[in-house]
Amino acid sequence: MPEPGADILIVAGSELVVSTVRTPLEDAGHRVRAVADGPSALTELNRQLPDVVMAEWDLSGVDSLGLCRAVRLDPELCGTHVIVMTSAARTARAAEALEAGADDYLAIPVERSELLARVRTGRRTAQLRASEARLRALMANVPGAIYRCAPDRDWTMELISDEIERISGYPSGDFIDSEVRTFASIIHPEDRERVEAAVFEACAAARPFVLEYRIQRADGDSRWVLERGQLVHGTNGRTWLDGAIFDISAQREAERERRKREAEQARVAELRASRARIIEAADAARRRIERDLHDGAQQRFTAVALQLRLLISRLQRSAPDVALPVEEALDELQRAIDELRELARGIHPALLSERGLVRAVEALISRLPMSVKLREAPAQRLPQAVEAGLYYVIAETLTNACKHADAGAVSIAIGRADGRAWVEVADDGVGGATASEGSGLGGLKDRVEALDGRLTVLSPPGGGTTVRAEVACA
Amino acid sequence: MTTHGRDCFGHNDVVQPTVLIVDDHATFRRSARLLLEAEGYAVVGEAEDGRSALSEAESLEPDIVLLDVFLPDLDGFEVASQLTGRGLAVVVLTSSRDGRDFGALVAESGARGFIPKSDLCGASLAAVVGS
Repeated sequence: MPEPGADILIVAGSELVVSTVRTPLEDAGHRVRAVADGPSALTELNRQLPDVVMAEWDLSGVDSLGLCRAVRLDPELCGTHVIVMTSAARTARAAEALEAGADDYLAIPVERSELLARVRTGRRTAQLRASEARLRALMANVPGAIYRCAPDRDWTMELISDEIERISGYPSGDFIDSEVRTFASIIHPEDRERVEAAVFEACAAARPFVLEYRIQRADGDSRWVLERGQLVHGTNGRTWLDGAIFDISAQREAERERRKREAEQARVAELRASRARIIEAADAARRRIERDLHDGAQQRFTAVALQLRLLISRLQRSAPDVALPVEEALDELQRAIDELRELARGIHPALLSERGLVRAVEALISRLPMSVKLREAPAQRLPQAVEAGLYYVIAETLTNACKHADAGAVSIAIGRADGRAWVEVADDGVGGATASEGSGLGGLKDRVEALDGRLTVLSPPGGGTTVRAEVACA
Repeated sequence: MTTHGRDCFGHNDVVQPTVLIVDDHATFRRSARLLLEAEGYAVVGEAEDGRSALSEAESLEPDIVLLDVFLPDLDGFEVASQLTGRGLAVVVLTSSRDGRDFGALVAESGARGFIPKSDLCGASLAAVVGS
């Protein structure tokens, strides 16, 4: 397949020169523009950069040497291939042109085949330069330092992109040929041996490597970098390490923060779980103690009371004077039974485990010397731990309302929705209550938080008190 | 079922109210039986849980079932509801726990009343049954 035509700019004052080269080039399928002087040439070059410039020696306005220099110095133009055309008699000056930046020279007149071959070569050079420019642009824009280095212990750099300056604080030029410093010298001393071993091992096994290690920046900071690379074989039997180095300090830091956060969350969750377990264990112990008291001491005392009662009824018939001290003993025992019953109920209300929160709260309300209304309650029972937690919130709040709030009326609402259970106790008392540490409400706060919940106390002075507890309830 | 016998003053042929005692504590059943029998009641049976209470009440047809609130299988209030619902007996609930703990449950169950265990005697039972 023939190559597509090249874009060619002829810069020649002489019509003869123009026609000598233009016709065969156009015949060969190239696109040809022609200008007669240096300034026009620069305008055309800037308008659209050709693959090849063919400039006649000694132009009016700008000499060929000046044009060559102008092209080479301008980064926008320097990719084009410049051929200087001289008359055969002046080829001796060609070296001067090449020195000034021309890529090639051509003696006019020239054989058609040679002309076309030179243009083809020129075009290839221009394409290579364009491709190299693209590569450089890419390298400059990759967020990592792309490098080629010798696989030696210094990592002597053949090239390394400018990004290394952002990463290390040292300009890339420092590392080329280890001019100012070796790359190895900026690897953190604690990581150097590991990096070297890993790279040499990968090279020996002819496989790519990926490493994370620290470097020491010019400002003394340490940064984490990720390096990917592999051994490649170049010309002349040389081998190189080609790869890229990325600054991953921010990611490492984010990862570290994430792990720390996760560990912290896990710790909080474990603390909460352990607090919940402690409270559950305490609740279980209270239930057990109440049951033990009920099944043990209370039953025995009750049996003794009944036996005393039986004895009294017999004595009253046979020896009424003896009955009196036994009756006194029974009274004493009755008081002990009452006290024991109060103690057991304080430890744990049996009705709570047996009949649930709502019944236990109703019983609690029935014993209070003030008006308490249970205005809302769930139809179903809640999990044991939740019922116990909410019961103690209600019991403590009612005790406060009775003792301290001078409340005339209290209302209670218990609810369950969306995986949460809640209770709200509101009184019309004096307000001013706080859930401070060490207070009864403070203790409730701990209990509620152990159930993954929240206790809020709204108690403006003179404005009554509303205590709301909300806990997780699967 | 009523039974004939001697009352607590030794008189014969007094109609004695019959009682079924339901409690999972044997000590209480024994003491209650002795006391109530001494005070003119005929304890016709004992049961240690809710299910046997229901079957015993059906077969023995006692006048009164003295029923503990907390039983190992069924809830005392539930047993009371079934017994009174079927008109099997007058139910008196008892517990060593305070009756005030039970709020409205006693009345809702259809039981005639509640006696704390340690207050049990013929007179307290008669007072509740007769109320």
